[in-house]
Amino acid sequence: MTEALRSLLARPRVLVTGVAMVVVAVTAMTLIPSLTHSAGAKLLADLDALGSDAWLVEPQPAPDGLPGRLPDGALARAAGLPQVSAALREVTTEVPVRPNAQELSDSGVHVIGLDASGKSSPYPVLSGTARPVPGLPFAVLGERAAEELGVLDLPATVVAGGRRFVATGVIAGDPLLPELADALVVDADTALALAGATASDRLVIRTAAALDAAGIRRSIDPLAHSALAVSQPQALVTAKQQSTSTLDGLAVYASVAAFVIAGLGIAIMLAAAVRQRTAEIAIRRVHGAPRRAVFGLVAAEGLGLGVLGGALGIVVSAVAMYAVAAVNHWPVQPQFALFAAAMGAAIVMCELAAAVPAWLAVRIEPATAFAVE
Amino acid sequence: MNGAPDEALVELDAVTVRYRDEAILEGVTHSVHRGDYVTVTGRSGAGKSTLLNVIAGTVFPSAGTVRVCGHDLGRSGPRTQAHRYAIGYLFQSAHLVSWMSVAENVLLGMRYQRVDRAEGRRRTGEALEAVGLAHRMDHRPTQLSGGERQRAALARAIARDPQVILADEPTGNLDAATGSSIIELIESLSAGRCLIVVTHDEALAARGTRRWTVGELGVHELTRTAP
Repeated sequence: MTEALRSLLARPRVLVTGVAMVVVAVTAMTLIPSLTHSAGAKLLADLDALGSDAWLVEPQPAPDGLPGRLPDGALARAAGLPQVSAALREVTTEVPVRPNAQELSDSGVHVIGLDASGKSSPYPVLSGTARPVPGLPFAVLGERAAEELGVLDLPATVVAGGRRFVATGVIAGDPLLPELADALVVDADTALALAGATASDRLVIRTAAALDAAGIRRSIDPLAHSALAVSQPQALVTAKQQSTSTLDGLAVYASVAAFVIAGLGIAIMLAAAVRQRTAEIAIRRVHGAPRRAVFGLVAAEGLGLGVLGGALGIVVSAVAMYAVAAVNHWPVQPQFALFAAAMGAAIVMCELAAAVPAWLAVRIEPATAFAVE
Repeated sequence: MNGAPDEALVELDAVTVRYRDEAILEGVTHSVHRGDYVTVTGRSGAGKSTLLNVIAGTVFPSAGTVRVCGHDLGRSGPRTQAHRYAIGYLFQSAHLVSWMSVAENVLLGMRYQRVDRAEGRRRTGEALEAVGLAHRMDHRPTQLSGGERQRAALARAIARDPQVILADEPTGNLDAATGSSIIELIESLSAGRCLIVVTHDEALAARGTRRWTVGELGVHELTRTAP
């Protein structure tokens, strides 16, 4: 190995160019996935915010045509699923809402019931206190609903289904529940009491766990008393899958392309170097070097390029990764397995690239080599 | 250097060399003994270098047998290695490895003989001392004159302790005075071995105890004198 390094040092152009090619390949293999990982994480988080991590659980309509009902305790069981970040029970009604003591036809604002597991608000709060209190006539207004009803100051009294509610806050629409922006939001039981049999309810579950529809169905309704439809927002799920595969594909293609180009370049350079070293190799053969020793001579140079270039490439990649992350305020998560894989790939690529030049070196016959000279 | 004074070190038996169906040597049968100094002449392309390469084991005969120090030349593998270990080869050019020092070039000659490091260093020192280059052992070949390079190549050849020294126009690239001193050095260091020199120089050819000429597909012995 020492001799291989000295031999490379004697040909600085081969050494510098070869190492540079490996550095580029290793950097491409480690830096591109790292950057796409960071950028992709943000993209996937955005898609999750839109609801690509959501499951919708809806009861099938009853035989009489009225909306079906979720089984008792469904929300609590949904909240007990693995890695749940939010579990909501939403009751949709056609109950109209009007400002206190005023007639307002076709305001477009209806009552929606919403129960959420946990204590935090399931939607972005714009002003006031925004959480319906079960059993009390408190409500929150979606931002467009507040505008529609002319509610400028909080608290404000609104009327729905013949009952007065005190609107204590204004909320924005959630990307997954955009209808909230146009609604008066009360707790689910209140909404059911207002709307009666015409209300429909459903669950919205957000989880990072890899669950399937059948498992969710069994968890929500263990006794299978209800016919539940379990689904995901398909467009978002598809977009998430495409984003992940596109980013992964980009990283893989870029890495493979960089390694193939580097491998070809190194093979050509080492082959040229072998031609320049014909006399040296012939002298070694004359002095008894077996063919495997000649092969090993060139292979060791390939190994040297792979080790040097791989190590330098990892350093360059790490520095670039931290620099880009610092500029973009991304968190850096060094992927040591990727670095190790890149080092291995660099060595394998260089050895493969050295195979043909090594084979050419083995074929050098002293008599022919000196006759040509 | 061991062995009987008249031991046959090189034996060619009905050796034929063909290249692309064209015969270069045909049915060559000769033997060279310890102490022999053979000079080989002949026109260009007659097969002089091929003859040396056959003896060195770098060209394999199409037919016939080549034995050096009793080792029958195999086409490859250990037999070929043993064959090559017994030979020191000098070329018209020194063919030193430019990025190695003079001492490392001499060591390179022993690299594949499995000579241990200490022994290799000892032999290197002795060989460079013998050719008058001990003070240049850490120099690079590019820092040497043509004559010094050829002396370094001679040191590389004799450090292997070969029984047979082959020299293919060893003075071809040197001026007359330098060439003469190199030849004297080769002759003195070949004592007790056998030396085969290919040359176009009539004066050099006349120095050998045996003189061969290569031509008409054969190797013909012109003169033979007592060593």
